[in-house]
Amino acid sequence: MLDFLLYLVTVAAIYGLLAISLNLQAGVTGLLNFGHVAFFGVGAYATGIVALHGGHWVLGVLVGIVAAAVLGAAVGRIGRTLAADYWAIVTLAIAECLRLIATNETELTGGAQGIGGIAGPFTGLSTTAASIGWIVTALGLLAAGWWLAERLTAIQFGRVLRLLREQPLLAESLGHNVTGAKVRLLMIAAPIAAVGGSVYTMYISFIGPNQLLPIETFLIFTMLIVGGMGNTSGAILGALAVQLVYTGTRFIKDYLPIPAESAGSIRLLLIGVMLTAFLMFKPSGLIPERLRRVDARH
Amino acid sequence: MTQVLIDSAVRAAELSLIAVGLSLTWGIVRFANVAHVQYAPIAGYLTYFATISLGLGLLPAAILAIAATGLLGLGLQRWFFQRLASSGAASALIGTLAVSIVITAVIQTVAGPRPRALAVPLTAGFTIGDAVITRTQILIIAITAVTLPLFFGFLWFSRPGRAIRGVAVNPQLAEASGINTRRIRNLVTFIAAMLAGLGGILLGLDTSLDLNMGAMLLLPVIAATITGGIGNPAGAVIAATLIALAENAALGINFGALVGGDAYLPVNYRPAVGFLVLILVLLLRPEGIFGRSGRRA
Amino acid sequence: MLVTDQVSKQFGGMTVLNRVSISIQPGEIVGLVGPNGSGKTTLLNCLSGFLSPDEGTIRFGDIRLDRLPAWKISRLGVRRTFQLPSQPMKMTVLEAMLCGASLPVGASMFGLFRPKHRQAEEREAIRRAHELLDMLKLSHLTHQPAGQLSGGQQKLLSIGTALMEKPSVLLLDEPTAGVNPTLRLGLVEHLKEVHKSGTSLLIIEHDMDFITRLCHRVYVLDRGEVIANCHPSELKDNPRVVEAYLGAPKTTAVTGEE
Repeated sequence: MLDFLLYLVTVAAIYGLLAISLNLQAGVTGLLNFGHVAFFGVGAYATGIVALHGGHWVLGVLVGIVAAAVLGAAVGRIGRTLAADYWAIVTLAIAECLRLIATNETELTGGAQGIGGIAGPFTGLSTTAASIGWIVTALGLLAAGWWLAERLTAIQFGRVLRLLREQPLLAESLGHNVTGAKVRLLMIAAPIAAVGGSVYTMYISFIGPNQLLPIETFLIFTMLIVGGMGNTSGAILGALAVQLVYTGTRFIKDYLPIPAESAGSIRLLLIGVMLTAFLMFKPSGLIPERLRRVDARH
Repeated sequence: MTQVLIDSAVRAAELSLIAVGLSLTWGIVRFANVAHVQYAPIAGYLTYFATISLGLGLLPAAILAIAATGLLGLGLQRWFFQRLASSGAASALIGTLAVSIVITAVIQTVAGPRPRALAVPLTAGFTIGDAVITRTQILIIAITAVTLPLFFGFLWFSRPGRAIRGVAVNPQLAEASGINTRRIRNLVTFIAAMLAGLGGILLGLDTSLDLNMGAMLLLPVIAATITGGIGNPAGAVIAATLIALAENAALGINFGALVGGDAYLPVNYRPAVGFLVLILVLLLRPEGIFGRSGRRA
Repeated sequence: MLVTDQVSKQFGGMTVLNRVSISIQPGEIVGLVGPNGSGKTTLLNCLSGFLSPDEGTIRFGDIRLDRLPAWKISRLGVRRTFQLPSQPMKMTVLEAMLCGASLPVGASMFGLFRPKHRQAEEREAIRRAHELLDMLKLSHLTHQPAGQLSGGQQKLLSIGTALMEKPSVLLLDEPTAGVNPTLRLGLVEHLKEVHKSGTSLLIIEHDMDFITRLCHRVYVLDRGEVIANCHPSELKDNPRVVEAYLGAPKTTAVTGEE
């Protein structure tokens, strides 16, 4: 039971990082990234591929961060002329293409089998020590991510992003480079997700293309909608809530007479219903975005 | 070469039926319905279960399934997407993503992950030169060749069809000239879902019913829709044909001349072909090849 | 200072601006009037970089503006407001005002690591924001959501945000539409103060009384062409102007009511 709790909190914290990253894009800036899982995947596969070639895990994490920033910038440049729904579709398509590459370039990525046995900072320690190491790492990163996102949103950098989410023309008229701001935001948000991907990969010491399915993006969107779009704390609360349901339902099959192969789809169904219900009845989420009062001493 | 043309024609038929509906609804409801491609597997599986459980023949089962899919599309639009759209296109977009995933989950729960085959009498195909075309493929092309002209005839020459195009071009003006835009929206989503359902059944006859059918359709269908121009179903048909040709040509070309040896593009990259077309179009002409007005942000 | 030379703009074969040449000198308040659809807002969009003209040039001092993006033009000191209220719902009035300021440290992502510099520039901007809000009689709304103000208050606020950086030229698109009559009179005084502090103004307006009280000079546009360039008081004696307005509802020209 304790092992399970440690696992739950660790995974929820990692998803919290992913949710923080998506919230910076979708919640704060209004960029509906339907291919968010690609940033996670870049971090995860960078770590996996570096490990496969015997590189140190630190190198894997760094490669992931840099690659994600580059991908973020590229995705942002593509978006400079596109309406929001076009951009959403394009990001989805890019993530799908990356997944196709991950599935098919067997020599590089291990193909459909993925990459296993990835070493991390706690490899070689006892199970308990490693679990504790991971939960501390994940929570530490989550706290750092929270601080970064929260502060960035509060200062002028984030204020401009929040303005261009609602009134892009007004932002432009006040001298703010809207495209540039989006690109810079993506270059910050993407590495946050990539770190999440790296940590996840090292934690379960495996990465495969099935972890890059669009369903993962959908899961993170559910976290944002449940927690409340536009604020970091909401994203983290949402990550915890969704992860509770998602992991908790693994036990359904122990109590209900359903075939094991359906358990996964029922879990998904539950998440889908949760998202649908929040969209319909509480679109602002558990913690709605609040106005930010600015004071002179701030 | 002949084989590439035959395969492209079949593929174009399946993609077109799904893409015209998406193009039309996107133009009218003003958000991208990601769940639209999921109407295809729904109708396919409904047909399958109608033949298995109700013991219906393929034709009545298909008609029943198409009608049911149309009603589902209509219901989703009326009671879910429309409500979300009133609080912004972003919510509607996320809502369609949610529905899309829920549909996949439901199919997986009910039908399981194994592919299912629709009961088609196996018959020998015809040989044209060194190419083969099956009776099923002829049927697919024939049904599409009848359905699409009917659809466009309705759209261009009937009263409701003209109203639909009016709403797609300028909703305010259409509303002002006495057109009930809400009824038009409902009509369009109903027709679009039925067409997508038909496409799904044909696709199921051609290959098999698969959980990932919707996901595999998403990129090529969206590519066809955007390339053809949002709200321009005729453009979508032409674009779907181009994408089908590009897919089959890309898979059929031996890239060995470039890299040495025999090098074919793996079949798994098929969805990426449509996507590459899409990216090129978006970068060069975001309003689509045949679109009238730009949708630049 | 801000000069257009033979600027033309077409939309789908329709000529909206036809060889328009206007100029705004330092220290001037210039009106831009004309019937609905005469191309006033299109001209303002060209000046502010939201549209680029098909032909002709726009200069600000020695700088060509006609190929620059809107945000660069704004940074050069040519700022604009919009005809429709467009303030954000999820920001307070004070935050919306700060968006109008240029805060180079805070606007950079590395500003996070230079708290002293960031807070200093932000304090200065907040002081200026309070000053402007006082002037515009909006200070009681400082912490209200900007997007929930009345239409008229939002228009005042958008003038405030544009003034945060003391622009050289301010382009106003119908500043009084939707503003109630008392505020409207006040606005004349506010804009005079703005002018005194060194900003030139170009004002699109339907309210002739407002134009007469404020403007040194007025351009009249009709169907994309400049048909008059004179002192506001000379307008009613100009036969071409009178003719142009007879096509439009008379009330529009006289009182600004829509």
